Amino acid sequence: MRFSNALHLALVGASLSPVIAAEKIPPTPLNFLSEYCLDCHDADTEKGKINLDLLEIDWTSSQHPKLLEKVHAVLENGEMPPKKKTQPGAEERESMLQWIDASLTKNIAPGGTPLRRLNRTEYVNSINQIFGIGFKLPPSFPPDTRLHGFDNQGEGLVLSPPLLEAYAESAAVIADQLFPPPLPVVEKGIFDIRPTDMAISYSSGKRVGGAMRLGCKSAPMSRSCSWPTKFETKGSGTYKIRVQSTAFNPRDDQPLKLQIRARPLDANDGTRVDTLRLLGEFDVRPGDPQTFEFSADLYRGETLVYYFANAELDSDNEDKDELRALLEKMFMDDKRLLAAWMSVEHNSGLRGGVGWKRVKTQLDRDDLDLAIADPQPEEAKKMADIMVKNPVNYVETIIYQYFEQGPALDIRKTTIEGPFESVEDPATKAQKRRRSEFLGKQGAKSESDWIAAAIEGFLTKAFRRPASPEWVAAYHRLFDDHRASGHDFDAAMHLVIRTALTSPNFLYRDKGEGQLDDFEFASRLSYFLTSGPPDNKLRDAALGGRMSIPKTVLFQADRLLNDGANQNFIRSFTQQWLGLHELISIMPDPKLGRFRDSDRKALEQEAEMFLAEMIRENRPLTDFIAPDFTYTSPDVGSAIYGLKFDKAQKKKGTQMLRVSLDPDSPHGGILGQAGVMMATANGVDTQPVLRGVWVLENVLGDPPPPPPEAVPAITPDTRGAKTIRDLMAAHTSEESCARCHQKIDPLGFVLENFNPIGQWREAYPAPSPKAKAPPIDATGTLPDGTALNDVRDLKSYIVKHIDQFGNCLAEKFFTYGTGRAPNYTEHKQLQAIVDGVLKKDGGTRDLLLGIIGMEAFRAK
Amino acid sequence: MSPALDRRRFLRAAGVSLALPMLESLPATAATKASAKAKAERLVCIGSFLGLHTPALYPKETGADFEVTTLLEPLQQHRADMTVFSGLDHRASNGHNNWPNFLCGKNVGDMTLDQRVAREISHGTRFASLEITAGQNSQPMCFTEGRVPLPMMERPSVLYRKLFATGADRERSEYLIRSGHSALDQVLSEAKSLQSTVSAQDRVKLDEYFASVRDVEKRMERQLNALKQPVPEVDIVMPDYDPVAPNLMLECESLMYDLMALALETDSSRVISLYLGGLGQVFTIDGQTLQAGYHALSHHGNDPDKIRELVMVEIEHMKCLSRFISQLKQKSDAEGRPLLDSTLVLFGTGMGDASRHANSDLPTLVAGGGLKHGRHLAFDKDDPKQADIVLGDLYLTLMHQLGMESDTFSNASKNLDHLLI
Repeated sequence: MRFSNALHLALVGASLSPVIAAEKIPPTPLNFLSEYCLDCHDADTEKGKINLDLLEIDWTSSQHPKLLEKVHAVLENGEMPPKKKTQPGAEERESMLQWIDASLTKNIAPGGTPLRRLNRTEYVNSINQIFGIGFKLPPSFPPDTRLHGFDNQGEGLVLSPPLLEAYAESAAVIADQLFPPPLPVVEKGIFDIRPTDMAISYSSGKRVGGAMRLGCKSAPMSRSCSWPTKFETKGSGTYKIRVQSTAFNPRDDQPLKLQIRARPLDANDGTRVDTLRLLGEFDVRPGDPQTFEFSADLYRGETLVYYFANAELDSDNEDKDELRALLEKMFMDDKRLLAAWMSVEHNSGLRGGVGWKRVKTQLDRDDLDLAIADPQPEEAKKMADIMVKNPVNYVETIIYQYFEQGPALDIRKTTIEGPFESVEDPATKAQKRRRSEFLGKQGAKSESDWIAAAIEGFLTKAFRRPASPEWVAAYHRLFDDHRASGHDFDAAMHLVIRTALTSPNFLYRDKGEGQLDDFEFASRLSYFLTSGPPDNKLRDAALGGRMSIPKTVLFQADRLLNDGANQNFIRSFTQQWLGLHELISIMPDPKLGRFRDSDRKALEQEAEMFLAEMIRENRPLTDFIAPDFTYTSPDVGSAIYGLKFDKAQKKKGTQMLRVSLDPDSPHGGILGQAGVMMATANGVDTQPVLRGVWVLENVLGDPPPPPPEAVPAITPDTRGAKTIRDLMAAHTSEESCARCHQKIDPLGFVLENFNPIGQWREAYPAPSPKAKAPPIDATGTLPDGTALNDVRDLKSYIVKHIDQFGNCLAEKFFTYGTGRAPNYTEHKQLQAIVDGVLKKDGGTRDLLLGIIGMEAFRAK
Repeated sequence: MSPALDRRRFLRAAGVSLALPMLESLPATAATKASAKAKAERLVCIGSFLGLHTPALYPKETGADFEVTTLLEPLQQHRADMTVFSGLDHRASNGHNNWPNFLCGKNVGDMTLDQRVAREISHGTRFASLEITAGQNSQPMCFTEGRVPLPMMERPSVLYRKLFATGADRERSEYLIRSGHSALDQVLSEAKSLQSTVSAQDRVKLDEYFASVRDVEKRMERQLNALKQPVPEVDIVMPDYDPVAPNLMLECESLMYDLMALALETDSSRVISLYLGGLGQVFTIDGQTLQAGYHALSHHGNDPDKIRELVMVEIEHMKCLSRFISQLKQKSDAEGRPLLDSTLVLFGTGMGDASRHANSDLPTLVAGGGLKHGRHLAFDKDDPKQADIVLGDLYLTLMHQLGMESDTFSNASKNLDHLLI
């Protein structure tokens, strides 16, 4: 079974011990501090704002434990005391480290997530799961703050009055979808629609005489249809519709097909005709206008659409042969027309009636040279070829020939009468279905019991735990009071919903103290892996009291980690861990080549599909760094990674494919994905410091302290006099900079071969057309002396030290899942989990399940 | 009949007859930190998706003594109250997708001029800003600080109801607020019982909740008071249909301007943005149905027939704008001054030449707001002395005139104060 390793690992975890408030520092550590640290870090000097002039440790303060952790870290990696100062002996150092470690482990208990408000995504997913609707947040809804790199951290998710107000406003909008206020009654009326009140969009129609003339059948409504401009159905109901129409010059007296469809007035005009509801189809013949009378249901907000269904012209057919054949025949039948089209200048101005006028000027010339159209079959074919390459523009012109010569369809007067009977439109039907699902069947219950049952069911879902009798009673009272003050049943239910959706019991999770109870834990697990509330199966497990059984927990987690269920987690986690949410606001320099929205999407999908496979296939952690595969689209894969694709693949250029990578390829993995490289640059140039810091924070788990104030950002020297390496030389010459930059800079430089959109490059862009392109120097030395030539060396280094990456990833998963950054004790426990996974040759899924199985993961 | 003239049917009188004095009756809550130095108090931004045909707009001469051009002709009566700018842009790349940088500056998605201004000057008005479109909008125009594009109101009836709510609408708002009080009582009691079960750390979180509830209660009181204030009664007769069909766009535009003038007069909002669409609309102007859709006309490829029809459409835009400026002159603010004196009207675009999708040299007009007007100001980025003057510099001047002390806007860090203030 896949999670057997993890189950074992789950048993790793510290037992909780009582916390002492303040503790005297014993003499040995106290001496160590005064001998090696206080020169710089006493109360007066406070170098780096660090004061170690302490006699006791206050474990209730948040400062002291953090300070000790820091001392432990710098002692362990040898950063302190500084090389120039007196160094402690190895044994002395070791015993100091042991004392700190023991004190921290003893005194810092796992846990510490404050009440966690639902973030935007979690709120929307919760609403949609509770009510089965497709609610979207309005753009004005306040954003969430990010903390520790994620938007779901207890401390970061504050509540403010505008936010609570936004919740209250949304709650009313949501309640309207189940218990809306009654619609006004619509009186019956008669509406006459004449061609002057019918729409023309692009070249879809032309007013000729007393008619609106249609000439083509292109799929987008805006290219082929007309519709009444001043009629909109006010009340859903049955209407009597009379349309007068006549066929203009049909071929061989074949009837023309008029379709009447219904469109929402607010629909995009480019909507495809075949997606609109067909109300009637009629054969129209030439001669006197024929009246077609029929009854049809029209829904609130709709109007009619007129469509010429068997027109000859079609600018939107994917199969170009139909249009090509039509055009060739047209030019074979009329040599003069062909010669005229050949004589006219084909620029972008040749479009619409203006373009047709140009062609006609040629047609009317007495000196039009017909000889240019010889040989006619070849020339007709050539002209048709030109035209099918830009069907939209040419059809907009050729349609005017149809308007003059036919076949074309004339719409004259339309009369709409009604509504005769009101009907339920689909929106109302859906609303009534939601309403009855919400209320459940009354059956033999009294009205009061029925309402109580509905309220209980709703609160259990909304508050993610069984509704207590007190809650049910309070909301029932709210309902009764509202009815007593003169409002109807639906208004009272509306109020119940609005209230629950602004309640702290809905808005907050991670309630309680110590270990989370089964329901809070089911929520933590569910929001972690699905960004949504517990589903039925998880709810049942919690209701059955089984969420305290490790086997059940791991079974449920394993289930939620399957593809499909975990899509929200995959997306949200990759977006935030890899910084891909930045991509949307980066506009790559056009000099780097054409970059489309679909390319941006492909980069996001690459990272998501990659993480999904890492979890699905339980792939080893080293595959995050040096995998032999990635996902990409033929468009992006060829343009950015230089991969080869066959013809069939290229045809579907934006479709994502799993591709194998050469073992020597610099691409692939989180240090080679173009999305990551793009997110860590600014679209125009690369900034080694930013990328270096990014690697430290998100790959190696060793975030540097914030940069000192009053240090200006490095401005690239566009004249090319200085390389970026020259500019950054100061980092290593100044000691205060060097401490961090000896770590940051080699990691940044080694990624310089990736340009701002993640393409491999050997040289920087030339500063001017005549200048030489400066070559990239990606070499560097890591603080431990490892020499790097390019990113491949960095990848091998991390693969060799995969535990360091494992610890970093484990910390990210833990932070995202629990809503807090791990403390010292939790760090050590996470390291133990990672070590266990690596020892057993486990994979990514094992790591996730191992974390979920930790006691600390369940700690409040 | 041209749609602009057609609109007269709906407006009974040029002004509005009011049931109550309006601006004067409203509390002076809109006073802001910015207002002490402000010479202008309102900003209207109009963005044309297809821009304007600059050869028909730009005068040959610069300065005050310019010969009126085809597109300026409809605005001739406002000549002394407006300025024509040529040669300004954001130094951004080309293409339809870069259109939205009209109010952003160099980068699409950066907080737009209107939103920056609304944040500073809109305290106390009913709507911090209004975003409106005439014609289906294919590009966003206004972005929040969080880079969120704001939706635009497309139906005049929706804007009308928002501004001058009908009795039924007000009743519903009032009902939701009043019943919302019982909702707050309930959630407060839930929060209190929750408080007794949580840690000290969580109590801090719940304090946030209590504070928010108390604040929202106060806000509700204010809203109820506002609802008790009589709705500004305006004498505009709305058509019984919404002119949202593509070829009714000019009618929609004209109606939206009328509603915008009323929104400013009633101090319902001080920052309004209007987007002018440009898809396949085939217009009928003075009884003549044009030979191609608006968008096709804009890709004129220098075909004189198409340019003639394109300019016909743009003249209609200018007539609508001119009528709007006239309304702002006729209407007055609380001190009895013409509204235009304290209202900045910016007409511009993110598209310099729609035929080539070029986004350089964006035609821009500014009227009102107490600036020094009456000239054609031409800028030339090939002139080394002017090479770094961008459209954002004009925006900075507008912000200064509105009492804001901003030094930068996107890629702009100078301003045109010396020319205009």
